[in-house]
Amino acid sequence: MKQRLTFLKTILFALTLISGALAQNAAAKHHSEFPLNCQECHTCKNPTFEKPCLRITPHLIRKGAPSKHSLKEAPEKITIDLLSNKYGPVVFSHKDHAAMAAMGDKCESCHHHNPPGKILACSSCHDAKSNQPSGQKPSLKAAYHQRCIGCHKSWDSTWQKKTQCETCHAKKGSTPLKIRKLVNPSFPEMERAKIPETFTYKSDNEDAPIVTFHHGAHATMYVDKCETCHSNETCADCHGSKVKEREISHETCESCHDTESEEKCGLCHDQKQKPSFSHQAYGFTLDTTHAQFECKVCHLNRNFDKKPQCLNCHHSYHFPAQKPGKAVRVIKKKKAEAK
Amino acid sequence: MMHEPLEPRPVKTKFFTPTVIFITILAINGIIWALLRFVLGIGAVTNLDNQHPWGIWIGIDVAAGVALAAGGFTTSALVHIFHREDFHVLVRPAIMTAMLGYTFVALGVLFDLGRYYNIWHVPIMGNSTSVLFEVGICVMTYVSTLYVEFFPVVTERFMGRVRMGGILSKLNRAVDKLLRWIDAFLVKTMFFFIILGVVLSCLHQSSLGTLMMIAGHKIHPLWQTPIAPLLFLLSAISVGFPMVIMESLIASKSFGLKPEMDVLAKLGRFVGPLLAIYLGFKIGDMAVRGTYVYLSDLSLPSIMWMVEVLFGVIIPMRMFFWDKVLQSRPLLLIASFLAIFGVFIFRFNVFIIAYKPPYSFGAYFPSIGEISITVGLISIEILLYRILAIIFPVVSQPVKRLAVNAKYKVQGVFR
Amino acid sequence: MNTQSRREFLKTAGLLGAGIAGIKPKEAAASPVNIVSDDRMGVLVDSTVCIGCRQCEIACKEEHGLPVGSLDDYMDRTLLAEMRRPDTTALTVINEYPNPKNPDQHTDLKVQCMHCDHPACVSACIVGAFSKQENGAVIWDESRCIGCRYCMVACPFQVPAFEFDKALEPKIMKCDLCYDNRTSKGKLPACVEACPQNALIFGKRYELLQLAHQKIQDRPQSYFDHIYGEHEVGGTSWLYLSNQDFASLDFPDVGTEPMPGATEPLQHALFKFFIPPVALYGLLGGIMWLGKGNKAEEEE
Repeated sequence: MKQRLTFLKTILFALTLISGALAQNAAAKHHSEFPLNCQECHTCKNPTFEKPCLRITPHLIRKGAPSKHSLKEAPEKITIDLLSNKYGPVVFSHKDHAAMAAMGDKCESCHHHNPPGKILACSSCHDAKSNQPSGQKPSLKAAYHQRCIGCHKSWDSTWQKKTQCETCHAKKGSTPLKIRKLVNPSFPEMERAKIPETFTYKSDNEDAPIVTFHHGAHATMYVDKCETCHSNETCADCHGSKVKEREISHETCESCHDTESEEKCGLCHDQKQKPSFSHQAYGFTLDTTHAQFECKVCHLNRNFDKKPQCLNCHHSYHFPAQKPGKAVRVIKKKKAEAK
Repeated sequence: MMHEPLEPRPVKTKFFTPTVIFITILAINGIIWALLRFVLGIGAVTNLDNQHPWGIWIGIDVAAGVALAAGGFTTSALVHIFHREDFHVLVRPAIMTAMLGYTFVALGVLFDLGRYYNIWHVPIMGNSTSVLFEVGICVMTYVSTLYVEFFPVVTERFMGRVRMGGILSKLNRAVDKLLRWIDAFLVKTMFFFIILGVVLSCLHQSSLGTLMMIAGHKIHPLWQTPIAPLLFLLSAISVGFPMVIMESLIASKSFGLKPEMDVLAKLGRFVGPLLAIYLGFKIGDMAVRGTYVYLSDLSLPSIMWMVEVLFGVIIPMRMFFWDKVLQSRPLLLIASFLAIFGVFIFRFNVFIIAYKPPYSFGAYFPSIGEISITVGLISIEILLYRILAIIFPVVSQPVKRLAVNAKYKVQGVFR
Repeated sequence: MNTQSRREFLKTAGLLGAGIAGIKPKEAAASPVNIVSDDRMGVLVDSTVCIGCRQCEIACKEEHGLPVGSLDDYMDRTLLAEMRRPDTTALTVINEYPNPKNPDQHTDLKVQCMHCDHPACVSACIVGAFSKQENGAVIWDESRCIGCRYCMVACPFQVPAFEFDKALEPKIMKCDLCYDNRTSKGKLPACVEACPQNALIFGKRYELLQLAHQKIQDRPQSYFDHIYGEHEVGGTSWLYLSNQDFASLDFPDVGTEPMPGATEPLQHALFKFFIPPVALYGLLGGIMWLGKGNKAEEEE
């Protein structure tokens, strides 16, 4: 008797679980109810599960994921171990790649056909079970490889001599590869990209033809994100053996610098290479606290000619001994993920 | 017949002469290389590779060998089908050369086959769409036909003279009876085998030309033509008589006999027109397909084509039309040699020079092993010719020099 | 011959002729399996996706029991500088070519038997050792082969390789589309399964063609507008997409006519009814007979 009661209880419990699961399922929308045009993905009128007649997707990029998603949402790293047989799992430095992708095709460079809503993992569309593609859609393994190798092969010069499986895959049995320690969380892998410190350009300005651009200083101090200046870049543009030559014009700089007024030309143009700007030279130490701020916080109205006044923000400078008093203005930090 | 009566008789001569000894050495060298080929495999003794699957064993031993054995069917057609009995003295040597030639074609194929021990697959598993199968089955049948055509010579030699020693002596009468029965049967049916031989020859001589057509773009356009089978057949027919002439001249010299110059000159008159027909089709084909553009590039194929046509067709053709050539023993020998050279080099060009692999890692040149075996086969063939001519009544000689001692002096169609 | 009358001649000719005619067609009736099924399978090679990792080479060797060697050797790309061909040690190989669309990159290309729809080897093989199966695979039957290498002469793509180093039982070796253990049982060919990039897609040939056309249409900037194998030598089961002209990738210009197209009609005409040989036989017999009559009259 008691046994039978336990049995019934179990059945009851199971039923509850199943119905709960069903209810949840019902709540999840079928993708046909998304605000999408069917023809964007399917070539035929009535796609079925067996014959989805999908378009070849990678070229149909749905723009706009970053307007809804930010880097903050991006997982730091993703361990890909769904298909590991010959090699160990791949540790994918997802956030670094996402940060770099911001200079290029953004999230869509990988999540190329994401329906509205949550960003989907590769495996939610690409089949992990078999390596046979449907023809239109690569298998999960191929999707990973096509995404990664396309870029890695494009800039990795050693790839020409040796197939670099072990860039991503640790051999089976050895310890998984660790994500490299990043130089600056905002500027991942900068040492590998070999960013030149200073660029010297020649302009058609006859009096002062030489324009010096202190790239390193801009990258580390003045600009919060690479994509402020860099957009539509490919991996190889920065990582390749030859750094892409970029067209520089006044428009490139005018978001920060006044390029209109003639008296300000000397800021960039000169007859010889200009030394790098240093706050130190003007008697101010740009300590870590201040480096977090955007330039315009101190340099009001982007006026870099005038020395900023401490009292613009601090209620007293001489408190208690050559230390500024407490801030009186609300100071916005840079948007970047400075920890 | 204006000349003294001739009868085929076994040649009375000693076997070894300095030339024969030299040929024997070449034959032994060939046999040694042949042993190496069967022990170590094709790759060890040849320069063949995946780019050049066929070499001189096919190009010379088989393709040229078949063409140069054409004397058999052309002569037997001339004498027996067109009833030109005035040439009958040439039939036995021609048939014997063809028989030996085809036997050595078959042997040459065995060297080239990777699985030579599977040769019996050909008649049972034959693929009717395969040109090679047609060539193979025709050659197999024709070899048998040639043996049948030659058999009256054997019966003539041994009928009434079967003298086996030891325990076999009891069989002497039975064997003699069998020989007589076969002889009687062949006398009645020989015409069938003669026509069959001619038909089979026409079939496979032309099919040899079809053989390389399937290689398509791999064959140089100078030789890749839809009328290749016709060109092969015409060239084979035109080379048959020069082959008989050359053979007769060399054999008579070697055996110390007087060459039958009047018969040979008469035979030589056929060669000019036959070569002209062949040349006409060859040049006509070139004009229609416009392949003369390739002649100007002076590449190996174009030079070989010009050598083939100039020295192998045009010059001998002109020579055979010239009475002075037909009457002169050395000139007739040269003209025949050139015509033979022309057909030989035609086959060699189609199978070796014209074959251009799409992916080549170096040109093909035959190895010492390949050359040794080819030369060895030809040497053994020459030696066998000499042996058979000494044993059997093949070569015709003036009757008055020999006592008539055969019981059956004339047999079958060889009359 | 003069011992025979014309009547005897005819009688013997008729008897022997009938005998031969009765044997030959049976002999020649055999022709190998050569099916061009509408549902035949194929493989689409998208060389713009191929990275030349040579995993297909490894998988192929493992599948066919050939020595694989050290896996690290396959990572060495300097070997790709020289063109290789499939041979008896590797039934498929990767070759590398310059990429005109991106000079820093290469175009990698897998090479193996094309599995023609109208295979020259099947037509040429003297003993019918080659056959084209219903699923499109062109395979070789060891139990029939006599090692004549006519298949190698006939193949427009120079694919069959021969074990020249073997004195006994040398094999003809080429890609068999993994017929025995895989594709005849509905499984993928080993190379396709191993390809990490899905540069190889196995499927029904007509679907692959649709897919290939769609790919070219969707991304015309990435592809050279030609599918090698769609029409070449009458169509092949392996189809190739590329970013450049196929001539620069060492694909031979083979035309669109099937290779056996020139020789098979001749052969069929010969072997189907034996009309030309029988006619020739009759003609020659006639000439002989007429001449014989004249000669007999002369002798009388």
